[in-house]
Amino acid sequence: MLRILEAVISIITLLTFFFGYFLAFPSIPSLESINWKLQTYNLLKTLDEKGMLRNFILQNRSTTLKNILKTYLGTKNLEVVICETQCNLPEIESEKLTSIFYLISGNSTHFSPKQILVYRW
Amino acid sequence: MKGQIFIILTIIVVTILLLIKTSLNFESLIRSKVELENSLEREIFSSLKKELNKVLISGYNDISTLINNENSFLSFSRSVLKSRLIDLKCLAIYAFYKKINVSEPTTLNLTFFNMLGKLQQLNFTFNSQTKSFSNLEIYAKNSTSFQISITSNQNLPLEVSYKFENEIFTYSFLIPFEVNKSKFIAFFDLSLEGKMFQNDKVNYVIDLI
Repeated sequence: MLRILEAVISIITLLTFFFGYFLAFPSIPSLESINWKLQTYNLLKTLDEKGMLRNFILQNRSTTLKNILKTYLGTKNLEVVICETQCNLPEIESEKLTSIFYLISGNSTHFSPKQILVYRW
Repeated sequence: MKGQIFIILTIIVVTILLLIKTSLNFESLIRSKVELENSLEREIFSSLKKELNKVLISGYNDISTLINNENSFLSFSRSVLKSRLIDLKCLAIYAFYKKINVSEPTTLNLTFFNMLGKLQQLNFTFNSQTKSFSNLEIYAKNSTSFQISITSNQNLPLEVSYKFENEIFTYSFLIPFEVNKSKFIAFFDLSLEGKMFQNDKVNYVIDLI
């Protein structure tokens, strides 16, 4: 009988503590998503500075860009969308889905504002 | 003793969890996250400013194309950024003049594009002349001009002042005048507000052929 009482006291203490633990304290901020966004943005910027990005975007070569990004970022879970303001968003079901955009105005001879959207999960 | 093991285990688990919690520096983690988010927005703002300069290259030498392209790119950027809950505001001022001959009167043309919001008042002062505009809606465009005589190469200030959200903003930027040259000057008073607020004023000058 005493053993059951001690077990009940333990369970109540643990439950009280867990509720307090998860409700009273803020959740641990995840840096993964923002780190990934920065990493991808900097990669797009570097590709742009090396003259590799603009023409691919203007030629709508999203698959080529996707393969380049997959290689540099070392991930398979990546999707690339090239669009203006109205974009067809890919159907990706993942809780870890995050995206970043990069804007271009065109190239040295052709004005054509576009955005590249990179999704990762 | 067998029942007390539950209480002992509970104390151990609670102690371990408390130790983990106290060893985590939440403030530092939150600061790191905010700093990373801010650095991404700084990158976006920096890229936007560089891109405005690139637009000038693509529409080289045709004034109306230059102005239309800059305005289109600003509207496009605002629209994309808005969908990301980032607010881009801008007052774009384009000043240009055709080939200057010494001591002959020259016209400095001025066109502006308001992407700040509703402006109650906008004034341009150049060479002791003031031109005023009032009640300008967002995306409003307008033009004006100033007369000037130049005797040698010089930089002259164009003063801009506007009333926005009951606050008055005043600043000036230099217009470079060069004898026997035609120039186009694009000036942008930009602000970007997302997780953080950034503002800057940039101007780009190109020689027209």
